[in-house]
Amino acid sequence: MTRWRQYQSTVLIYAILLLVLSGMVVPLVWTLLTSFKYNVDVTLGWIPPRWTTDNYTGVFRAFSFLRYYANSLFIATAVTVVQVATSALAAYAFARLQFRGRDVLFLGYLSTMMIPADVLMIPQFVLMKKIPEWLNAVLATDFFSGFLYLKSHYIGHPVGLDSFFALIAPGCFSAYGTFMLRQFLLGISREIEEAALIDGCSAWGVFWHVVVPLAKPALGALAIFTFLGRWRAFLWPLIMTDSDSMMVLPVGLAKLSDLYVNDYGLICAGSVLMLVPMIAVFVFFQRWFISGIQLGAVKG
Amino acid sequence: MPSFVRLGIVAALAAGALWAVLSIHWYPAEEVLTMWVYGSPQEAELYRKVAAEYRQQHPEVRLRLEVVPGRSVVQKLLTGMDAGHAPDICVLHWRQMPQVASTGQLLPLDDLVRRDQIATGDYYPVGLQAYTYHGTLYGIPVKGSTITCFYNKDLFDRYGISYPTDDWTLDDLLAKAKALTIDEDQDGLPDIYGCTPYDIASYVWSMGGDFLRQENGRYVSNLDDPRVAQAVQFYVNLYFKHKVSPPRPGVRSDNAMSTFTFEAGRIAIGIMGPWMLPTFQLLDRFEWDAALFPQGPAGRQTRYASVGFTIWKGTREPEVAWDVLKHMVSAEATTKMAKLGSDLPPQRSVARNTYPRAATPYEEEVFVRSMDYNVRLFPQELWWEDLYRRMLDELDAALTGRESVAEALAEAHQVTNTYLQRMYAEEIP
Repeated sequence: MTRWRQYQSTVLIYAILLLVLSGMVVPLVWTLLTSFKYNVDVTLGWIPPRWTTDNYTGVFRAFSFLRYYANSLFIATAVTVVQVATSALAAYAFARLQFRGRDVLFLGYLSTMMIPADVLMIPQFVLMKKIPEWLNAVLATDFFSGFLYLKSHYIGHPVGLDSFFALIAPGCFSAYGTFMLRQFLLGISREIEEAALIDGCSAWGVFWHVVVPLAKPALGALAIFTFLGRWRAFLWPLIMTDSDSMMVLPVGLAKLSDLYVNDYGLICAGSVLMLVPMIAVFVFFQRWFISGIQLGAVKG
Repeated sequence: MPSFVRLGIVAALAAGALWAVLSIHWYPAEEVLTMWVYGSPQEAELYRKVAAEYRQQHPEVRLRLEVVPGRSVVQKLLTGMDAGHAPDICVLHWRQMPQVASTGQLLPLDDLVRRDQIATGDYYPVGLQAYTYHGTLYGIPVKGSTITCFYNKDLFDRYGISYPTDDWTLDDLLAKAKALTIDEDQDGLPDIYGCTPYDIASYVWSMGGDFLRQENGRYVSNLDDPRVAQAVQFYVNLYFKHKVSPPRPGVRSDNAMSTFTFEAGRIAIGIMGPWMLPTFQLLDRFEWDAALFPQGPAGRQTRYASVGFTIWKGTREPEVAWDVLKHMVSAEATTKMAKLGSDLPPQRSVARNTYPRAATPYEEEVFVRSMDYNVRLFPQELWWEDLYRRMLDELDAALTGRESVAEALAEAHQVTNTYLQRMYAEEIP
């Protein structure tokens, strides 16, 4: 009887899991299959009646796909590396170092999470517009409003609007990342750090040789969240970039949609191509990804 | 990871970074004229070509064209305008116009049009009206079209139904739709539906009604007009009483997963517009053709849609921007745009010379003739889109069978008047 009950519950669990799984997989399969259809065949069932790869070549024709890909990859990687570094340092300071006003500062930093990003959009835009003007005026130069080229490829202004600075700098500091890592660091035994200090380690040495290795799961999780967030970011790059050469993949994907008429095959092909690195990141780092989810669940 | 491998990676990264830094060149900033466009990839390519022609003719003008996502263009544009950094020239859909024009950030074009004697008489009047906000012209259309029908000739032939003619009526539409709603496998469910009716506005207008009327210079709801009730009842009956249209979740929303589509051969009459032509040109599963929208008691009154060029008021080079705009909407440019086959040119002369195009199996001239009837616009007001959405949300109750048409219209009437009263009290522009 018990075994029969066990069997029943296992079947039930698998049935629920299959249902949930199909809810996630079915749209992906539909997207993949639609990417091989002509637009006029999109509503003709799941299997394309006429297979075509035109949509994939169409994506490459519609915009500089490889350039957008490179931009997205560079921005997501740069933001991830810098944000993880700054968040780890700030988290260590807020968790372990003793200084006046630490908790007030931490609360102040946390409160920035409460401000909706949309509210900050225009002030940040104005700031990005003004930065090169201010720098030019202070340093008596016109360097900061000039154009940069890597060989023959335009890579934006040195700072300000339509620059990698605008796309990377605001993402380098994260209250969420700091909070998440601080909570993790609070869980690390102080005795290990004290032992290192007794052995002659400096505060930096403790951070680098003790805290960072112990915090690897949390750092990995933050890196994944940050990378995926930046890879998918749409509004900020849309607002900040002017030139085609500086745009990123989600903006390029949005260009494939017209205002009212859509070529679904083309959009699906673009989506599939955009998905590939995200799947790769997940497959390679899924251990940290899952531990990151658990971290948020138990430490929050 | 062995330390020599780690060292190798660091060295490679450092070398790459050094190479990148040494390869960077700096050039001084220069004044450029920026133009934003959007559309299908084919349209974007065409804009690029037309802009390249301008550059060739005017090498002294540094014109930069950027393709931006159409659905987010207003948000990007308004943020830039607020901060004093926006494109000199920008493409806008006519329904995006009020939101941008109401900010006062678009350059009025009336004087420039008069000064340069632009042949406004050659334009479809509705095209210029679409870019007129509170009496001032802010844009010139580059393409436009109105609502027409596509019909599946094979289905008409198979079931012995006569094709739609220029004088067909809404009653004819219903009769043909009934005759072409077919349960082929006799399982009690239709396999082919007679029609998809598209936007409700053309029905309301063709029945002689309207959504709003003016009293003492202010808009009030006109949803208590019996002709509106007649139109909405006709529209709802297509779904509920006669069941000649496939079920739909709401007036504003189509069933995205429906397989009852014209291109699948499961809809006999698809009411749409020429913007579907690029898609339907690959349709070789059955013979099809185009027809005018059916006439109602008040004639044939259909909704217009267009895309046009506007100029930012803050441009440093208004004259050059105007010159570029004229080039982008010139007869040569709109002819090329028309040849893509998705919309009509905004000038009558170009429309008549371009259509019908050679080697199209369908009667393309229908799209030109459709512009000779009463082609209309919604009110060009900032608040219209929001109000219209609320109106249609109320009408959903009738379309989904939760309320009768009379009840849903009474609700919509009240919501509309409350909205308008509050709007006038708050003096929203």
